[in-house]
Amino acid sequence: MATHPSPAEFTREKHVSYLKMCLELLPHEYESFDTNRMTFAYFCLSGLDLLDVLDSALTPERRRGWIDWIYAQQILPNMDNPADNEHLCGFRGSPFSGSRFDVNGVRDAQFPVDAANLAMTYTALCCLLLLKDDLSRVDRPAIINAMRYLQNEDGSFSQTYQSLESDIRFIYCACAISYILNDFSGFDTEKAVDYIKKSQTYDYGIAQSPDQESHGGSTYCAISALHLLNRIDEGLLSKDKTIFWCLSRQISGFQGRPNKPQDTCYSFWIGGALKLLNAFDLVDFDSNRAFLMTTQSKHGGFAKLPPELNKYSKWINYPADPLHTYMGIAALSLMRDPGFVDLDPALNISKRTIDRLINESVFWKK
Amino acid sequence: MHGRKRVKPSAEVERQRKEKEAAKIKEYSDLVDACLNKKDSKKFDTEAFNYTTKILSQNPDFYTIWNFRRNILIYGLLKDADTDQKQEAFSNELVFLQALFQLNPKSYWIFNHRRWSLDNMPYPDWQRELELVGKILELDSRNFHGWDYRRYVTSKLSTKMANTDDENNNYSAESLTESEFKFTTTKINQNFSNYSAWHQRSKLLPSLFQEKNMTDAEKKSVIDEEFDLVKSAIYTDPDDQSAWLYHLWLVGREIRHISVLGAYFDPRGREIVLSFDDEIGMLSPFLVSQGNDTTDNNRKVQGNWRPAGGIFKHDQLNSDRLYGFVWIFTLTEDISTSSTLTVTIEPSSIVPSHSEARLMQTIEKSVINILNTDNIAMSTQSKSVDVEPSIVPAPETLPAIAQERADLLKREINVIKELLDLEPDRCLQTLISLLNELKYASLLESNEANLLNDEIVSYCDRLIKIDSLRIIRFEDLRSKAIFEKETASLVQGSLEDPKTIIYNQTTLANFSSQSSSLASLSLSSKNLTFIPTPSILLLLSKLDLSHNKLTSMSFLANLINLREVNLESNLILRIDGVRELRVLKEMNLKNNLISTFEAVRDGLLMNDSSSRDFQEKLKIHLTGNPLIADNISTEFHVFNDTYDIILG
Repeated sequence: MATHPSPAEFTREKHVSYLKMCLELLPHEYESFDTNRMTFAYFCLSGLDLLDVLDSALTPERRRGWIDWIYAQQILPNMDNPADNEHLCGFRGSPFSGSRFDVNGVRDAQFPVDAANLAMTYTALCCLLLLKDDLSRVDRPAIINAMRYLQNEDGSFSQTYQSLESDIRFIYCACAISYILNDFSGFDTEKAVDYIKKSQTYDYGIAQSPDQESHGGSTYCAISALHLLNRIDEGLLSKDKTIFWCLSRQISGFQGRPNKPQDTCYSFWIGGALKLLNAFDLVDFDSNRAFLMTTQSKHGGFAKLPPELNKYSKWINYPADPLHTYMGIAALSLMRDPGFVDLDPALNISKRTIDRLINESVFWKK
Repeated sequence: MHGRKRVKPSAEVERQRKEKEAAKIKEYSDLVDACLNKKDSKKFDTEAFNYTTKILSQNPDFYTIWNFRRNILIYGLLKDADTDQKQEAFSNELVFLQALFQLNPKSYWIFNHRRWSLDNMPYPDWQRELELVGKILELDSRNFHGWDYRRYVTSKLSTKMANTDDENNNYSAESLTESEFKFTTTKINQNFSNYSAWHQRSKLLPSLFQEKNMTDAEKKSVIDEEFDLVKSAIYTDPDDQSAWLYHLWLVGREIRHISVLGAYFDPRGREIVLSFDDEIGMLSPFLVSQGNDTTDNNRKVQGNWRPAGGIFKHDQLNSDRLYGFVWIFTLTEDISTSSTLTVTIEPSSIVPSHSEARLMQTIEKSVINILNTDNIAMSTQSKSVDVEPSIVPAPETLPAIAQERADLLKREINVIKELLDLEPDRCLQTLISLLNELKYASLLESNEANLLNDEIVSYCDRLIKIDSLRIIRFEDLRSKAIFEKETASLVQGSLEDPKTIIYNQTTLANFSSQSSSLASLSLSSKNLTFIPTPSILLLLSKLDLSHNKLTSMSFLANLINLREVNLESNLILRIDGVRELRVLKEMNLKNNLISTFEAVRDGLLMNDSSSRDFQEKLKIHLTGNPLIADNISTEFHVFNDTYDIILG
């Protein structure tokens, strides 16, 4: 049977401290990611939630303050002339554009400097839910409407208006957002499923886009998107073979592509995909856990690789980072280790947070 | 910070550092402000452009500034520019990007902006781009941004080559794909594990075929060379995944045809029973019509479809879909049975259990009336309708002729068998899957299929000995092969399409005769761990599955014609699948693993604690199960009305 790590192996308290620290302050190497700051907030808040310390970590004032900060990143349609900026609506990652700070959001965002971003909208909504907000200040019509501008002819999504990159990651974001807001009218689901179908490769993994190699991250995004659209059966060429591809990525931890080294985060991307395909029980939990234990940093947090191999990290003094920390915790939660809150693999937040979404948020509650 | 030795700097050093930082912060903020002012006044001028350069040099992830920069160029600086000016401007973009790239070799923004610049440039130098991306892949041969970019560059290069009529041009469009092909060969020879290179090869091969307008013979020759290359990779390192995956692609996989095994009408129950060889979901109800002519004027018949023993698949968020092998249509109107009933099944109304199976054509199945046995021959008209081509890997490498495919499979099977001689126990699963492909490529009735099944069984036996962790998987694989072999006598290839199967004449005749002794089959002592395709057994009255390794009996729900079933000496844990069976009168469950009263009760009683309406009392033998030892026979009285439970 699966053995659970003794407290000496999973350094819980250090991870809690690490996540709390990141919420307050990030090392200067993170400056260039300021446009993505919302995702870091999500990693930290969801990580603390899965470790079941989120409630005790926040004072009510802190919680309200952060909820306000998140809403201040919301770009809303221009009152007098919505056509002016309706394609920019949603949440941005941080006040990077220098716009006026207003907890009610801004209505005068000007392209191109100030524009919302699908990944930030998704993580913003997750953060609001984690902070127990009921989403009453979210402008659903604006977000759903803006989505129409972001989907391309081939069914893929760009993350922001006129962005040149478009791939499966943002199809996932669109699906997750639509689910949270309980409204799938913002995009052509047929085309999206079509794009996913075409991005599958001959080895039954799924790539970022047609022509590319299959990859653990895009495989998760595709399967999760199909799950949220209720189209897994039609979207996958062969569910069995995709499961086999995913399982073949396990070495002790998981790799993202054949012949690449194992990396903490793929324990979640591949593990989550397998969970959604009802095949997670076929994973070797012990080996997976053993690998994850080695990527913990002695300063707290998880790194991508075991520290002695982590020469790829540009953060020499802080080998851990919020993304891999969150992914390590999420991966352990998937294995239902005691002391971890149950994770919903599709939306990548705790099941109890989803319950709150359904029972208490304005877009779902009866 | 955690664990780091803290040396407190002197106050003066501290002050200077703060000052320097403050200056940097101010400079950055000023830049951003200035930028914002520019966009407010919609001035797409040089000053704005320079601001974006400064910001992006410090922070290339500030993605909206890239958008702004592009707009400045298109709507401002280059709006009225001539060709030379544009060329210079975009060349400068490339220089700018190159500097940024050193620090960020995996940045989406940089690659995308580079593509955009080249697309807008009057005279892009694609050759130089090719060299550049070659260097990128030297640094990191798995950088998928790099490979993707390479595909983009080569496609541009070949378009340009095809369009140009420059006589001095030394390259032709054909040789570009070839040289790319050689590039991947180089990369692979450097390192067989370079999966990205193999993957690229799989993209180039079809282009090569197309460009050179290769004949089938030429294609075959190229593919054979590919197989040789893979073979050397496999022999060098049989553990490396890349070569095996490429081999998988080369071999390809045929789409499985879903078969409609048969359909009959039971006037007593006013039901049509329709049988598939796959567990399908129904997207839209199949049309049932009545009439004697073959035009479309037949009258629609009213009723409802449900699967026998249907199971809900997956926890879907919005809807649950029922799947089943056997589907039953209950009529809600009275009809005369003198005219023909027809079921029309469109491919688009079915969800197969996995997407590599397809119903190939619209089937119009005439339903046989089992009480009217004059006309047993079931006719099937198949209207050929354009089935949407499913995306099957590498159709380009599948040979056009079936016999060639069989030959290819046999050859590759031998390659692996040779490897097995050198390194026993390797690659057995690949071998088994190739044998399955060969089985499918050959015609069903031939002896070859049976021999192949025997071979598969022997390899499964080997795997079971070697790999104790995966016994269940191999036993299931083995069960599939055995089941196919043992039930081959019940079915035949259909005349219209040899790849689909239907019940054969003998099976139909035995079924119509309503005789238990004729319509029976023994699958006793076959090491079966599960029943892969229960619908094949649909027309049986009597079935012997004793002395196997079945852990579940839920498949029985499909077998609505069974009168007697023998499941003695299996590994069954609970009674299941019998609630809807109306003609079942005897069930032998001796020597299984049923250990609790609930395991019996839950299988026999409906949700409201009432029992099913059997035509006769169902006799159930439970001797030799663990629950008997516990002496709880007194509790079984609740079943007395419907069941005759024999414990001793």
